[in-house]
Amino acid sequence: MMGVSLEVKSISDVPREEYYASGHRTCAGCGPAIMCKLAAKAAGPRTVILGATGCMYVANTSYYLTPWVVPWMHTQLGAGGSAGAGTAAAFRALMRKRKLRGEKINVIALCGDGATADIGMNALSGGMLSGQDFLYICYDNQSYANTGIQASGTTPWGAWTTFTPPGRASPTGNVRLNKNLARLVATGHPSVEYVATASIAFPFDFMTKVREGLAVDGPAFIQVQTPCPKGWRFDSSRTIEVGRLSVETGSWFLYEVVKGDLRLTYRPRELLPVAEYVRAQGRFAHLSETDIETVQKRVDEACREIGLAPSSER
Amino acid sequence: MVRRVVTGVIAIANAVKLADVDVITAYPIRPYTGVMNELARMVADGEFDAEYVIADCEHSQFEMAKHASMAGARVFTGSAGIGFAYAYEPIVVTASDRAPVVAMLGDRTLDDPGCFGVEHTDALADRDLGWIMFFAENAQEALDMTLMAYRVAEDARVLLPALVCCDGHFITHVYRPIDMPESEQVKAFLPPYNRQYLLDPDRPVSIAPQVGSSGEHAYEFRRQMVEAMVAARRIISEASEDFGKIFGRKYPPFVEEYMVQGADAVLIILGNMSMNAREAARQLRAKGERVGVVRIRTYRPFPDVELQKVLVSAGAVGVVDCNFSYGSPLGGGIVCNDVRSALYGFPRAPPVVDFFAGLGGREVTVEDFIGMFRILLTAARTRKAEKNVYWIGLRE
Amino acid sequence: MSYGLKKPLASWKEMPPGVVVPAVPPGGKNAWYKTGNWRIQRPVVDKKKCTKCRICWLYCPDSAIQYELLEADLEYCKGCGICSRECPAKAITMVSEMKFRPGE
Repeated sequence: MMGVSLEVKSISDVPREEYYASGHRTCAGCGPAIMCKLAAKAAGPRTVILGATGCMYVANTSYYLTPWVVPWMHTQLGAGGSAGAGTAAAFRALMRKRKLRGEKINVIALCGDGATADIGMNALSGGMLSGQDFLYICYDNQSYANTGIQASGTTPWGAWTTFTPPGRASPTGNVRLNKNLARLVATGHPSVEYVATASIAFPFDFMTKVREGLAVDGPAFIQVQTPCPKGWRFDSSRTIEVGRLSVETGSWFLYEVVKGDLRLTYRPRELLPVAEYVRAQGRFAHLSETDIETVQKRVDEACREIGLAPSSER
Repeated sequence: MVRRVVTGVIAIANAVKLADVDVITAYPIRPYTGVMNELARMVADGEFDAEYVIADCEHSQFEMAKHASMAGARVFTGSAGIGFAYAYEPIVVTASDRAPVVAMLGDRTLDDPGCFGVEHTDALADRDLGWIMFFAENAQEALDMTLMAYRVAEDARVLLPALVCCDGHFITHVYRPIDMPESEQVKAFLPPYNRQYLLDPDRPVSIAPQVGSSGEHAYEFRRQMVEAMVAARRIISEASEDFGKIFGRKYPPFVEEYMVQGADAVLIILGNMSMNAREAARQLRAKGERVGVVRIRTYRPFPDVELQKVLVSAGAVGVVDCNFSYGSPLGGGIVCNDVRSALYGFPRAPPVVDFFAGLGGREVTVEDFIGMFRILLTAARTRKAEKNVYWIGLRE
Repeated sequence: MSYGLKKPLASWKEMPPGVVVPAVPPGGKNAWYKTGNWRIQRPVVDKKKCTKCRICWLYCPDSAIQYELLEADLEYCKGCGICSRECPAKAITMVSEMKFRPGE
């Protein structure tokens, strides 16, 4: 764990400067855009960002323009882990050989859930294995959003996407049980000393985690949930609200795994029924009451596993 | 000057050490792995200082190399055959990002079927993407071309990645005596790697933003890439001159001509096979037949001007293709079709005959080359080729 | 206010090699891509109710709420309404653009 001085506890700890400025083509109310802004503030000016193809590429550095104040480079959809490891290896070699001087440079690979859970799984795992000093942030809006909302490895059961539309023959929508990325990284990669889950609805927790990840000398991984008004189908003003509901219903947990030890960083005092979260989003509008009970059962199991009392056991 | 007996891969590893490379990305695949084994040993023994990163696959390997290069490190990577194919995505992007990565290719037959023998298709299939391509003949050239590659690729007027292609087995695994350069010579030849646009918090830029999809920007970038290749031609010649002065080994930068004076029949060839072709030429010249060999050393930028000069007065030209291009014009291999294009339009252009030979790593003997020359000599006398394509040594 | 001001297109000789663009200078914004003309509603802040907690500033996806002024930069505000929704003092109301005259 790191020193108190790096922790972001309130607004007064949040840097005023923007390192991800106004003027980008993201949707009104875009969750990932909020993530970029907060992560960039937490990391500060001595940072290099590698951005994989996705909304935070195509809808940001659009038309040969950029909103980034810090150095930024595009990388391929499945190359986030490699981009981070390669850039970090260069800085490590150059500093050791005294070809580069100054303070350590933060290296952050910023990749979507499709880029991380599917096509970039190889590079993610290889990057975590490499031992190089970089932070991998997976911004999770639970779909391939930039191409129009297709199912990815983190799309939850029952969600509408253009690849999993509910229909007469197949009424549930997505039937795949999504991967648990943070656990996947934490359980199988001994050299990763810091893994965390976060949410933009809990901005101070997220920003602190970004700094903790950067403070580790080696690979670190954060999966941050970033609700998407377009893909999840809710009014653009409710991005933070939906993110909050996700955590308060036990549909998303906020924890960190430090050297293998898991610890929740936020414990909802009383979990709300998952229906409040599900019914707030149009992508689940086709789900029946039975379906929602199924979701509640899975959420309850996950809560028990992580040490939270399920809402149904109040 | 130190003389050592080494394989091609050891020679290249020494070039990488002499060039003071900063980052090496490794992944195993026959027949190039030896270079990474030797580099691992050198780094572990402290012979030089580099970050040796083991990648999880070729795609990651080449991605890491590209990003390390844009972060300011001199990088080395490599692959072979189908592994190089797996890296296609970063291969494309490394060129368009203008990252001066230097990679070694141990030319190997593309899968399927799996085959460790040499073929050049792995390199040539990517010839359009903007990588500078050198084809070595032996371990000495492999070492020297690696040093040339850094010099040319990192030049601010070029900034294109470079591929040093070495025949699998015949260069990678065969021992030869070579002259090992001194590090002072390399320091005199290779300036340190630096460039205007890098990932640097003191000079922030955004590299490779999305561009307009109505062609507002990409079109102009294509033109820039072409210009970089044009500049590469000049810089390859300049660097070659310098190389000769500093190291004492003078190479013709683009094509190596052998016994082409007044030749009725000329064979165009790449790589190590040219040794046997030259022996065949010597034997035929001794009998009074006028034959010659032209070995292409730099394949991209393509030496059209040099080939035109030497070939236009030949009686007949044969191209040895150790590659495939299914469904191609006239059934020709990649090199043959490039050579034909270069000669098109010349009023007295000679007939061009394509010889597929050596595919899958099959040995091409002196007798095979004598046979090819005889076909060409007939074509020179009759002023036309009987067939466009011959498959040398094929079991019919 | 000039919306959607596009960067002039340069010749291939003038464009830097390797698809590179300079970063936004510190304290600046992406001057070439103003998104204010996306809006169909804009946030109106009741300064009497505002407690200066700056939650609106923190959450704005477009960094359009300014820290000191606590008003939306209308050149960039897309009218998403997150500031209004999250304001603990309920000091921000989203008002339809139809209620304002051009240039207001």
